[in-house]
Amino acid sequence: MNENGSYFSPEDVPEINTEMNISSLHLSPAEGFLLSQVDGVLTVADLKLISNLPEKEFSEALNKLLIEDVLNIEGKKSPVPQEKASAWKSTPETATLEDKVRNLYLDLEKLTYYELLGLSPMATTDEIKKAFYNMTKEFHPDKFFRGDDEEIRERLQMIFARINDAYRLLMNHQKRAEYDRDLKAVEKPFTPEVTPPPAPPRKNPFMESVLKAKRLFEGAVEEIKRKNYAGARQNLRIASTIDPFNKKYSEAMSKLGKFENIEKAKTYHQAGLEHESEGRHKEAARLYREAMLLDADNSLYYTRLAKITFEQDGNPDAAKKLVQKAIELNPGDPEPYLILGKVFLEKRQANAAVAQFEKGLKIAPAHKEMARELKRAKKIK
Amino acid sequence: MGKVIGIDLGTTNSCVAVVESGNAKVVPNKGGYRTTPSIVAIGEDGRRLIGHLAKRQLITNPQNTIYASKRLIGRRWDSSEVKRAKAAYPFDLVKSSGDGIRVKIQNKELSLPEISAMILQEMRHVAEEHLGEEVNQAVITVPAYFNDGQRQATKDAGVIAGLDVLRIINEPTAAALAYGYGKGLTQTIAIYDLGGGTFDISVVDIAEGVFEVKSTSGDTYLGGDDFDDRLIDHMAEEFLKKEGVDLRRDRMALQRLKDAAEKAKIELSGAPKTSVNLPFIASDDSGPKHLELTITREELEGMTNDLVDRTFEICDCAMEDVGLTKDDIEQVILVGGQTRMPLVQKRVQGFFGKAPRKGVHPDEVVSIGAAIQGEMLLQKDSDMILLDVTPMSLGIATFGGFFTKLIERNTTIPVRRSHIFTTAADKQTSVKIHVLQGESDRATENELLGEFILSGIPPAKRGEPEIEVSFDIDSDGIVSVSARDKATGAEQSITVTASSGLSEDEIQWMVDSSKNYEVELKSEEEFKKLKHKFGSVLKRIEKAVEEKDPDEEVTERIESLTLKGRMASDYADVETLREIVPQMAELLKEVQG
Repeated sequence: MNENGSYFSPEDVPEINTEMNISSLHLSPAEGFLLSQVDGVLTVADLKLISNLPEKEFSEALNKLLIEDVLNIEGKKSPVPQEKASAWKSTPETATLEDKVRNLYLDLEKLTYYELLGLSPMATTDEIKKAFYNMTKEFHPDKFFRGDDEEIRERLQMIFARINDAYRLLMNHQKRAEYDRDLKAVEKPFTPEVTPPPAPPRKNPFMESVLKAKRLFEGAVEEIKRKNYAGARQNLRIASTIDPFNKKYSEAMSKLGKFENIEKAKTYHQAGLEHESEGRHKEAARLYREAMLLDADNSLYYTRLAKITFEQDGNPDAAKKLVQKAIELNPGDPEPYLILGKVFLEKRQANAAVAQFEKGLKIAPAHKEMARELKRAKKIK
Repeated sequence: MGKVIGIDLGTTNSCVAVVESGNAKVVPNKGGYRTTPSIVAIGEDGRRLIGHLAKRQLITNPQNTIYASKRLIGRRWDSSEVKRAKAAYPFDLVKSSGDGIRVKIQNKELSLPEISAMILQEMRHVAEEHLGEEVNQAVITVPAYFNDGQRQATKDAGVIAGLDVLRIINEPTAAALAYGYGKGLTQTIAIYDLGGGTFDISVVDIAEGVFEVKSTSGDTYLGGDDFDDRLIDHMAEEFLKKEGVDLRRDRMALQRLKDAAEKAKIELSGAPKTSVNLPFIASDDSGPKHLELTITREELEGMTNDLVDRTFEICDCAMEDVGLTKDDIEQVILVGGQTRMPLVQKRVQGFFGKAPRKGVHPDEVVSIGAAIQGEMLLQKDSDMILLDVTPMSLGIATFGGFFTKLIERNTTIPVRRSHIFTTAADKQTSVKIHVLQGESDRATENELLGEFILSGIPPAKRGEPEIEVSFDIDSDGIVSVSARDKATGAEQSITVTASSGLSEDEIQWMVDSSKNYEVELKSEEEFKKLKHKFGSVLKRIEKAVEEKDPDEEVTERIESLTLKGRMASDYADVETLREIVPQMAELLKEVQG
C-alpha cells in the first residue's frame, strides 16, 4: 500500500481476474461502471479520466475491486488476506492506531455486528456492553484528537459510528431478534444468478457533466443576485467538482469565499483592536494576522500588524515589508507612510523617512503626528 | 505543550480549574474567591471591570453593567428570552444585522460572544497568574440543553478570548467526570444541575473507565434567577400594598431588590428567617420610603415549590426516554449553587429515594470536570473515554410544514446520519434544506438552526430525484450538514450557522411558501409518516371545527377529504395521501381563519 492508502499507482494497468465470479459480489454502480471499462490496456490514470468520478470515490471503487480480487495489477498481489472475520484482530498488538484503523475500515461493511465487537451470537447484554466499552476505548475519535491525517480521522469516525450502531442494536431485544433473523436468511446458500455488471452510460459522460456544470454555474449567478451566498457556494462547489477543468467555477467560488471572509476578518480586526487597547499586543497581532489571512486585500490589517511588529516586537524589517504591502494595496491611506517613515528613521535613513512623511502629509495635511515626525526627521537629516 | 484549563462559564458565576501533577483543582482569583461573578462593567473612560468589582458597582452603574449574558448568548432577537430581558435588564439591548443581539453600553455595541469572551479572558488571567505561565488551551462548559447556536456562540467567545477551545462539554457530564475520575467505578448516576439560569439532568453509566451519558434533558429557562424573581415579586408586592409604589418600575430600585433577594435567599439556606432592609428605596410627596421586611424559609419554600416540581417533570422525561426508573439510579449528585437550598436537597432526596452524594462541591465540580476532559484529550495514553449525547432531536423541515427527525435526542455523539429525500413538485430543480432542532412534529415549533439551497437537480417528475442529506454532530455538539444529489454523485457540505436572520413571517415558508423549495422524505417510512401526518392534521381540524363552527360548504369538503384520506391510509395509498395531507393543512388554515 502506498502513502495515500491506495494499492495502485497511476501508470498501473489493471486486468480483470477471469477466475472470479462477479455475480456473487455486491458492487455499487460506480464500481460496476469502473469494472466495465477495464480492458487490460487502459492505465489507472486513463480510467480515472474516463470515469469522471471524484478522486476519493474513484480510488475507493478501484481499491474495492482490487481487494475483492476482481481486478489484478500485474506484479502486485491481492492486498489483503482473504479472512472472512474480523481482520482487525489479526493486527499485531504493537500496531499503531493508524494501522488498526486502516485494517478494520477495510472490513467494516463485511463484518456482522457480532464479529465487529468480537462477540458470539449468544452474548449477554453485559458482555455486549463490556465489548462496546473496550472497542470504544480503542476506536473513539478522541483517540486521534487533533491528529492531522484527515483520512484516518474520517475512517475512525465511521468505525466508531458502526460500533455505536452495533451496540445500540444489540442492546435492544426486539431489534436484535430481527437482526439475528436477517443474518440467518443471508447465511442460507443462494442460487447464483448471472447478472452482468451495470452497463456503462451510453451518453458522453464528459459532455453531460460539462453541461450540468454550466447549468449549476448559471444557477449560482442567480443566487448571487439574490444575495444567497450559501446557495451559490453549493452550486459552484458541485460545478467545480463535476467539471474540474473549467477554471471559471473555482475562480467564482474563491471570489465568493472572499466575500464571506471579508466579513469574518472585520470581526477579528475588531477583537484585535480591543486586545491592543488593553495592552495585549501578542493576542492583537494574532488576530490581525488571522484577519490578514482571511482578507489579504485590506491594507488596514497589514498596517495594524506592522505597527505592533515595529513598536512592540522591535522588528523594523518585518514591519517594513508589511507597510509596503499596505501601501501597494491602498496608496491613499496615510498611516502606512507614517510607520514606514518611522522604520526608516529607526534605520537611520532620514532622507527616505522625510520622503515617506511628506507623502503621508500630502494625503492627510492635518495629520499632526505625521507633521511632528517630519520635523523630527528633517532635524536628524 | 502548555497547560489546559477547564472553564465553567456560568450564568451568575464562573470558575476555572487546572490539572496539576495529576490532581484537578480550582484556581482562586486575586481576591481569594474560588468563583468569579460573570459580570462585566464598562466605565465612561472605556475601562473594563470584570467579576467582583463589577458586581459591587452594579447598583450605582446598572446601565453599564452586564450580567446574566449567558441567558442571551446564541439566542435570536425575537425569542421570548430576549423579549423578557429587554423589559427586565437595566442595560440596553439592540438588534444587530441578521437578527442577532447587541448590548449597547457606553455608546458601543457589543455582541454576546464578545461579552462572554471578556469573562473567559478574566478566567484565563486568573489561571495564568496562578500558574505563572501563559495558557492557550481550554475546555469550556455549557448547559447540556444548549442548542447548536448557543454552543457555537460559546465557542466563538473562546476564540475571541484568544483561546484554543479543545472542546465544548456539557456541564452535568463534566460533573460526572469530576465525580468518577480515577475511582474505577461501576455505577449509574444522576446529575441534578440547577444553576443560576439553567436546569439540566443527566443519567450517566460509568464502567471500565468509560463515562456513557444515557440521557439528558433540561430547561434553559429555569434556574436560581427564577427563585430570585419570586422573592423580588414578593417584596415588591408587599411594598406596593403598604406604600402604593411599584418598585419594579424603577430600574435602580429593582436592582437593589434583586441584590437583596439573592442575599436573602442565601441566608435562608442557613437560617429559618431573615430580614430585608432597604432604606430610601423610593420617595413620594410624603417623603422617603423604606422597605423593611422579614421573610421566613417557609415563605420562600412556598413561593418556589412549583419551580422544584418542574425539575422533577424533566427528570421523569430523561429517565423514561431510556427506559430507566429511579431505582436504577445508584447515586445522585447535586450541581449548581441553587442546590444549596434545603428545599431542593430535601425534595431531591424524596424524589430519588436516596440522599444526594455529599462532598461534591456544587460550584466547583463542573470546572474540575472540564479540566479533566482537557487532560484526557491531550494525553494520548489516557484509558478513559467520554460518550456524550445530543440533547435535542435534529432534522429538517419537509413538505407540508412537518419536521422529519434524522437524529433522535440522546444519540451518542459524534454521529452521522443520512436519509434520502426527494422533490415535492414536478420539474423542481432546487431544494431548500431547513435544519431544525427540537421535538415537535411541526417544523415551526422547533428551533431553526440554518438553511441552505441545493440546486442543479435535473428536472424530473416529483419524487424521482434522490437527494441524500447527511447530518453530522461533532463532539462539541455542533452540527454540520451535507447534501448530495445522487444523480450527479457530487457532494458538498456546510456548517450550519445559526441563521438568526429569520423573523416569524419568514419562517412561515414552511407552511405556505412555494413548493419549489420543499423536500420530501423518500423511503419506506414515507407512508408511515404520511399516515401520521394525516392523523395529526385530522385531529387539529376536528378541534378547529368544534371551536369555529365553519359553514356547510367547508364541512362538506372536510368530510370528503377525510373519507379519501382514511381510505388511502387503509390501503397504503401514498400518492393520494401526498395530495390530501397538504389540502387538509390548507383547510385547517381556512377553518382557523
